[in-house]
Amino acid sequence: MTAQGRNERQWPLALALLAPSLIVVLGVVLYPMGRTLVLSFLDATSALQDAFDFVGLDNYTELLSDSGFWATVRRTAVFTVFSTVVELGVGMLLAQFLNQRIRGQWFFRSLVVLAWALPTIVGANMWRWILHPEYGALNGLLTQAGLLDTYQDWIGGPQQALFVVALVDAWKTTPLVAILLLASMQTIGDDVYEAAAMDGAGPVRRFLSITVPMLKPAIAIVLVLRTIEAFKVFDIIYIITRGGPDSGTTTMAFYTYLQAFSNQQFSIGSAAAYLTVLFIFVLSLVYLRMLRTETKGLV
Amino acid sequence: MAIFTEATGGVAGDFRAALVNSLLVAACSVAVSLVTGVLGAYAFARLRFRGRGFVLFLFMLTYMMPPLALVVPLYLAGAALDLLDTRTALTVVYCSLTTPFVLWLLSGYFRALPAELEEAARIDGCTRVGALVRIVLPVARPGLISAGLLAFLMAWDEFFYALVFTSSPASKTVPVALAEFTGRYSLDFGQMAAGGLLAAVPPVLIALFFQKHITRGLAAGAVK
Repeated sequence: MTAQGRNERQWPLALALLAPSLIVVLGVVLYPMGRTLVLSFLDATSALQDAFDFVGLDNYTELLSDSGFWATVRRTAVFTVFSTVVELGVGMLLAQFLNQRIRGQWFFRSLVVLAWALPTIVGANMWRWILHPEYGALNGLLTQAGLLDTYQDWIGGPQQALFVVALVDAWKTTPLVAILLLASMQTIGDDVYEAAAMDGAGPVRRFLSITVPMLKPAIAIVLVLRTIEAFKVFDIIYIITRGGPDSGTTTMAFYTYLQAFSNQQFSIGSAAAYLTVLFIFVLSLVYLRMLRTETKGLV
Repeated sequence: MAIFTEATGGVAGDFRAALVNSLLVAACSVAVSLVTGVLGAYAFARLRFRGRGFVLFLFMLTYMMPPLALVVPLYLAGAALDLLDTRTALTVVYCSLTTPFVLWLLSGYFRALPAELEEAARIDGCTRVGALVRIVLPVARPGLISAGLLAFLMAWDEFFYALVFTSSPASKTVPVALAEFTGRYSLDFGQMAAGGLLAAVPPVLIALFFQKHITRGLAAGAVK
């Protein structure tokens, strides 16, 4: 049988098998995707109306010439870079620790999986309580330890608050990053480390010259996933700061939500959503490029 | 302890309703995405057909789409179909999150299984679908468990769609109920702690008992 013949034969079965998932994806993702794109070219300000005026690229030009929108982009960039760097750094060290042969290792590994499984809203609520300016555990702890004279409002200033929510996001995802990196670390053979140790390489040198280069594909994947996710972060910001103070933690996801659901500016919200998609798409392409060269370098 | 004992209608009753809603919505979307995902994943893992790359790209795209780019039309459609504030609407929306994930995870899993078993079964007269159900699925059980559990956790944790689509105890899920405990003006630490604990019980139990499945599934889902 020729390859072409097989293609023809398998096509109906493939379609039948794929139909259910395609219906879900087409209906709940691709249709709204198209509708959002159309909405972003209209002037939709109310859900009750049936027909909207076509305004072309006006919504986009309005956003792109709005300094408030660019401030949102900047905040999203700061949030994404800061939380991704912390996640990768701490996740790497955590994975390295979990990869050591020590007694009771299963206990630490279970702890990390448990931390990952904690629902985001529960974690965010917990942090809101820890950071509370009056009854917060952090203030109580620091003053009792003599490290702090007066109670601080940790999320009182716009810039400070942005770093705090980025840290909470990093706290939430570091376990996942550690689990992913650990899985990759476990594929590196002991013999490589033994050989390096024999040549006189210390633990730090072995980590930097063996572990980090070997993990590059895994690190690249984590970077792609985390960047996409950081652009979508909504729940943590909603719970801890609601985008405030002074819009200091309004990242693109939250901005879109406010435009569409608080201000009823569906079209502006849709245009903002599509600009977000554009950013995610470009960044993913850049990462995938990097990833491809990295894996080529390894093989 | 009011959360367990208080009659329906109060905050505690609403929270219990939210637990039931969360369970139902998550379980139904897992069931749907497992069935559709298994079929689709098998097609990707074993069949060669034109447009395979394109369809795969469509599923990848779904993952990259932020919910905020989809939520407005979904909301308007929900309003037009009179489905806002129902568990059905939320289940359908969650299927769009869990199905591509399950499909992705399982297609990698199926590809790693040896094809010889199925071929032997087919020589013995089994159809493709028969071989999938009788031979592949039993062997792929660990993969199915990982995919199902991760999809369940995904649905249990989801907040954004739930916030937009639900407004009453009829369909509100646990994350939305929890978010309400930290309203703008009030902060009831007792309720928040009790509610948070209850919300954390199912995922924490899953993580404890199925740790191996979870970590393997996470690693496979990210790498393949």
